Amino acid sequence: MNKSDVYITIPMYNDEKMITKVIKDLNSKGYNNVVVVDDGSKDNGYSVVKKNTKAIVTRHVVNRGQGAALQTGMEIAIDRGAKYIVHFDSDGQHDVKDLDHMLKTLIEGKYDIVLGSRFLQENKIPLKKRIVLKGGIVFTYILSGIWLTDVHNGLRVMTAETAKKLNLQHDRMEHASEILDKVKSLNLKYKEVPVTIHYTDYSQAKGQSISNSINIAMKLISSKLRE
Amino acid sequence: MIIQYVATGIIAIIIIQQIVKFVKDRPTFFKTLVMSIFWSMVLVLIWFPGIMDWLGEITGVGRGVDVLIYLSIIFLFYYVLRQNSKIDKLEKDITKLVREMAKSNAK
Repeated sequence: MNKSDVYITIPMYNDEKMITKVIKDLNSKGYNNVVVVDDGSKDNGYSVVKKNTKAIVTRHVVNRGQGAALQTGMEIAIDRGAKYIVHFDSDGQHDVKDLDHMLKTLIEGKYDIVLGSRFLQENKIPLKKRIVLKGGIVFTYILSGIWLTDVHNGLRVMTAETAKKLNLQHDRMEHASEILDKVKSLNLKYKEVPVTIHYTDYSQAKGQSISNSINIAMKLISSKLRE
Repeated sequence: MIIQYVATGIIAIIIIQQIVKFVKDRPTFFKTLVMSIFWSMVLVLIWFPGIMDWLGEITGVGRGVDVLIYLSIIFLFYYVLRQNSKIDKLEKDITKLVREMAKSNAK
């Protein structure tokens, strides 16, 4: 695999403190095509990326949500000739070390998409978070008919073809379930692999609250009803 | 009853406004017609409340005022749904715009 075929898309929202480290870590492992989409942040993340890194960077003039930012990032990557696309978080909770084996699995197993799972290996997950995530697994199964061990993991690796097919319509956090729904409905070949998640106070403070999870669930149900 | 006269006055103003608007801004004839019929019906009901009671009886709801309340709830529900789908469309359009701008500014 040629790493210049791989494009890492990072949706960024108020992450000026972490983003430089995240990009530098990726670069140090040979991933130099990084697309950062600043989703209307209130901090100076955009300038920080521009000044300190060689990443491709752009900005949503108003906040549109993580799903919208990912879609923008994927379209930029596809326009620039990406063969493989990676979804990566901007808050430093993902580990660059997982990328090599995820990409290897994708290519050698001829999968359409490889999903990271924090439950397939030992990860220190706070109890509250664990309950919300397990609830999400059952919810996704009921709604989309796909049983996974982790449904809201932001680390994904896919082929450019898959990225084109996904064409995310949900702008906010519902995109994570939308992706799984499409994996099932488009009959994509997928695999879950264990990944490391670094829970820091920083990423915890930025994570999803329980009330927001309920909000996401309501939106998904209403969009399902309208299909 | 005084309320009947007050309501008639208000509705008369609304209907005149509709007609003036039709002459000045030329909205669709259909919209003006529907609105005028609607307000005329309200006017009729104000002067002949017996009609509502009659409707209540034949629909089995009972009181005429209850029929009005049920109809209002149905109408409001429909209206909220319509507004929601309009907002959804607007949101999608905004995202499309923001995305196009972001794509052309990517460096």
